[in-house]
Amino acid sequence: MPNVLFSTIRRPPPKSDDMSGSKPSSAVSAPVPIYLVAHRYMLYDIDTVLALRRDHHIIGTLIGTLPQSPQQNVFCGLPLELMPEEARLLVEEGVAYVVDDVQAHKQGFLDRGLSGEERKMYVNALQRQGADAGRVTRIRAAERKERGLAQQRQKQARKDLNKSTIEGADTQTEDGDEIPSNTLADPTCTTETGSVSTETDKTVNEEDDAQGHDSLFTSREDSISAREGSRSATPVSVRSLRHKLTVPDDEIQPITPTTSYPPLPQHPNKDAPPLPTLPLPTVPTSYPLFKFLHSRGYFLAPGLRFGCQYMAYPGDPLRYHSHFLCNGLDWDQDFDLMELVGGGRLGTGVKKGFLIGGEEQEGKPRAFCVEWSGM
Amino acid sequence: MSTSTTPRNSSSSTPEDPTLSGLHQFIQDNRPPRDATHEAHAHKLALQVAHNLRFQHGWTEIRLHYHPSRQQATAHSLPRPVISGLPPQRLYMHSDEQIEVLQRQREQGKAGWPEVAPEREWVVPSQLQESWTLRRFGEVFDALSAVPAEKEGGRLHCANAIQLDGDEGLEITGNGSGSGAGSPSNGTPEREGTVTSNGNGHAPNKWRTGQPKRVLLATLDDDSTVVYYIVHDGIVKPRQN
Repeated sequence: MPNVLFSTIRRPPPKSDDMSGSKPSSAVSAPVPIYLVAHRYMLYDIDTVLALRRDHHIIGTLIGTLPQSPQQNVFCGLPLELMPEEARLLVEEGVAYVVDDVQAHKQGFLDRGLSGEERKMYVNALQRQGADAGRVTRIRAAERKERGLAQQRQKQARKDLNKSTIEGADTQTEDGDEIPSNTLADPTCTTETGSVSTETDKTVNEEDDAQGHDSLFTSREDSISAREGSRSATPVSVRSLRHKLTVPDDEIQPITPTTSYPPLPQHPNKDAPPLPTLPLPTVPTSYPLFKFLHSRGYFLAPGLRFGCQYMAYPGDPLRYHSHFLCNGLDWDQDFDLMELVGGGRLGTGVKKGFLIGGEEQEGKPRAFCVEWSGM
Repeated sequence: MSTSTTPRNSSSSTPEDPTLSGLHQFIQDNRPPRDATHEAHAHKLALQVAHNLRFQHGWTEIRLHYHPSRQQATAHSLPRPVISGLPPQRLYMHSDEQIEVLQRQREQGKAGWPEVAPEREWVVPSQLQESWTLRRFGEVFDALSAVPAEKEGGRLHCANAIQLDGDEGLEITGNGSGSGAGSPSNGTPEREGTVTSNGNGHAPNKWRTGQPKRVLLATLDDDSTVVYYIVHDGIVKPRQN
């Protein structure tokens, strides 16, 4: 039984006229929570992601699989994962705070958040959603089957027609009014071979069913289902499916909700005991360089692609190529000149500069850029 | 094959040793000044890079510096000998300067690329196996001025080479930060047809002083090849290549 992800679809926030202003969008209330799940810093809300990108030039990495194209990972969707450096910078600037996600959920759901009644209501709501999903899936499957059958019938009819014309058969072809419209889900099937009537079907075809439309459909279904050994023993027509109110238990699909907000309150309960404040995210020694470049307005992305720590973009990565491959070091950290040479050559080869930097003194970062001279 | 030390202010009288290579002879001919505190290998490294600049890349007016630039008052020492010289063509042009030059060309109705004067550059010699720290880079930059002054540093002696214009054979003067005192020629003769950017009272290029400092890091490998990298003291966007 496939898991169906249902998300609450919200309308996009109203476009603000003040595009140059640095105020966050009205849909996002500062400070925003960053969810810490197993040492990863995650964001699930699209408004937050957009606000951070627009106002604080923090990009992060999308890591969610797109339901439209699950078998590739070039394009991904929500959730967004933040680097520890990004999370720490946001916390230090007061734009965000880190939430221990597991702890918050435990507290919200189990300890004090929901009463038994609320919980039961929520579970029932989920089940109803699952039943709806099951019904929709069933209807779609039946429609697909119908279409397939109609196509098969057409093919067969065409073959018969060819055979009959070759043999010089004198069965007059009439337009296919015989085929009642409500047995076929989409009437467009009959347009092309409208001249083919069911009579040719009946005369030539093996599966002769000269009965009414219901039995035409059902007997075909029967035979096919008997051949394929499908689950549903009882033949049903699409029409009856639409009106079916009760869905058998095995068709209720389990739902995984993507937000915790319907059961949990959007803003934390004032009476609830506050979650313990987490320490600042631990960052590698390159953090001063990250902060320095960020303060200069660069967008920073992970640099794994080029064997460096960060890639610095002068503007949004969707509009610009990166300018620098960055490595942050301690001021007194030894590094091989070969690394500098390698970075410089790689950078020049891909039209980027190689940037190394660190903190000369507390609060005084300094960076150097290396490129091949051409000599 | 006497290897007596060369007397200070006279033209070379080191007997040429045919068993030594040109480079070795060159290193022998150029002893460090007495007040230089650097180790012998640093000096030889600098000489080898200078030799490479002169003979492989055709640089002129090469000088060796043992003390910080006079402009840099706060720096007390130069961590290693540093070379300055004039490349045959302009070595580095910032992308914005490039745009400006092209615009000026268009305004003047000319096509193509104009003649641009070469600019004097610093060269910091290093061996490829060395390990550096950011601090050392910082110290080197702090001790050097943005533009190498023409009159500082000591010139090099080259016995058996074809002399290029402006590089008459003279020895390294006593103190690297000297004002070129004792050198008979009145400054180096200018090369024909070009305008040096920091000689003859010309104002220094605004791109030189406005942009972060830069040096050329020369990396000498064990196979005696030297490759040069431009290092900027700041965040400078890469050139289009």
